[in-house]
Amino acid sequence: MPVSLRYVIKRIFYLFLVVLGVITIVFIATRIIPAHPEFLWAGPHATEEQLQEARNELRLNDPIWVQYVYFIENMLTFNFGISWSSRHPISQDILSALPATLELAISGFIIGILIGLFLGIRAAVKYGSIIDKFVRSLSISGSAIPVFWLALIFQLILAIKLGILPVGYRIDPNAEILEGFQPITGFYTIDTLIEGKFDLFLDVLKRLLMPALVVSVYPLCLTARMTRSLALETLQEDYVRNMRSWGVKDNVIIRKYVIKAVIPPLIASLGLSFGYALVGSFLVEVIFAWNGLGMYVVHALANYDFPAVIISVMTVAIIYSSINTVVDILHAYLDPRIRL
Amino acid sequence: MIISSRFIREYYEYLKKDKLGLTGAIIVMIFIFLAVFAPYIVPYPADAWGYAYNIEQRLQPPSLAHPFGTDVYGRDVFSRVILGSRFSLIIALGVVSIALLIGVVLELFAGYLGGRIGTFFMRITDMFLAFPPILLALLFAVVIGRGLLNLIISLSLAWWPWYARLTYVQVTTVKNMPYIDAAKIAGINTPTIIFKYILPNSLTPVTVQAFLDMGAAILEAAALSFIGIGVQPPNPEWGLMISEGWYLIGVAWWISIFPGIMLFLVVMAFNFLGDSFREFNNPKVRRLLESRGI
Repeated sequence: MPVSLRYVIKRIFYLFLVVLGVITIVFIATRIIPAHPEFLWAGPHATEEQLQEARNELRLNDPIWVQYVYFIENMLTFNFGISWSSRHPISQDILSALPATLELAISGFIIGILIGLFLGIRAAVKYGSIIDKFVRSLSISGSAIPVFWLALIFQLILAIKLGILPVGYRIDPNAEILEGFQPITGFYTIDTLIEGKFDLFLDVLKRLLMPALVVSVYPLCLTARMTRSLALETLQEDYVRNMRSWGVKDNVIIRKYVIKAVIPPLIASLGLSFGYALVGSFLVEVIFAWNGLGMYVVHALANYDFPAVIISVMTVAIIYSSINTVVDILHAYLDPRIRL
Repeated sequence: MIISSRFIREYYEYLKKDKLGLTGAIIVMIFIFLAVFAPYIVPYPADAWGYAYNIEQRLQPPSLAHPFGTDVYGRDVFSRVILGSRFSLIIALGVVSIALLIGVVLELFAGYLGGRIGTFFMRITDMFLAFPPILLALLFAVVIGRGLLNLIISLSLAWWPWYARLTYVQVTTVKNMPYIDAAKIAGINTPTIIFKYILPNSLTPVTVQAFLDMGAAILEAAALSFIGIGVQPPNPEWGLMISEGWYLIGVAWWISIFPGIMLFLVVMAFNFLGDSFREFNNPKVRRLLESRGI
């Protein structure tokens, strides 16, 4: 039986409520906590006219619930105002930075999930061996690594000392001039392929590899830890023991049965893994000169451009909630027990 | 109640057998010692606080006089790294205890009253949990402002929902126990029931979680300081020190690498300790221990 439409609609309705909740928290954080929100909005060096403009824009003279309704309307129509540090509409800035962050986060996420799954199953099969010990200590210590520091170490060793990988940037800085490269979707791996520039595609991949490896650490550790304990549980089931006694090869058991039992609970954790990947890319982008949302936020923070920061954070929270909803629906599709 | 001399003695006995937990406990104790006595034991206290500038000594590689080298203002990185433990300890204790206080108190009432009020509080908690980790703290830090105290407040404001959810689950379980009904029938007033019967019996899971979270709090605070919104210069917070050296990584790697090592060690030690504390509080493990006569 496929997932009922009712369940999907319920989840999507719930997502809508969560998005409203996120907007509400942002509203409370920006309008109710500070005594003078216009200072937050207009920046530290604003003139009296700019402050007046901010007051009008925020409708601070209206009652608070009018401000609230107006705020929600603006957020839902992507009317975020103008960033005074970049002098572009914030929505446009975010739209141009978002593909870079997503490209990095998704690559790190996929690398992390695949390696984590592989290591987790290896560890469970060779329970108590050196591999198992390695995976266990990796998954405990992995969550203690500051990613931005790991990024520096990778950069120091792989790029500066050994010179295997480029130091930073998403693409050769001269590509636009020399090769006539123009971003289309903003995902450079896709863009270079669309434009048929294969050498540029390799360059993009090379530059993506190091930050993606760094971002993959948290999802990797989470996946490895979960896979290991789930696979251990499955390997102790009676049916696995029976198959072994029948002489079914370990490889077949793992490929056909263990993985099947491990995947559904793992899917449920994908949302959190992706959240880790997103936050990770947020923190390492500035180190790799990666023109994404994380770097945008760091620059906006340095310029006291708070609306840009707040809206970026809100955007990421909404993406994160949407992914969690998709994951929930996917999980329900794979595991009939949780369809309620 | 969770803290008693018998409990501490038992945990000590347990730690002796749990090597990882013991390693964690030793590192954490060294860390606390450094945090308390750092200003008196570091070789260059003025450098540690960040007020000394010795430009002719800048960017020196590690040597006997400066074991971790010197930074861009010629300050001794070793002294700064050691004093950094004080900042991280204050952050860990501050964030976890404030978040614990908010989460437990709110959900204690919400969980006990139940019904619409309880659901309403849980929905609010869910809204907070819709943000990815760190980003909500970043949002609050932007609004409240920079600095150590504001960093602690913003992290706590983002952290309490996790404890709230745990407490809520526990309170709804405990309040349906027969002894609570008995207390109600005996005519004991509601505050007494909440604080004397429900609170002590709901605290264990949330305290264990708080213990587990110490390392994470240090790490998130370092991340926020790294992007420039937490502790401000010239203070020697580890995340901030990493950010002060990252653009010099090819020239003077020691500025960023050593604070990172310290950060990693301390967070890992807290994780080991928290993990062993959770195992110890796991009823299955405890029963096993008691059957072995520990």
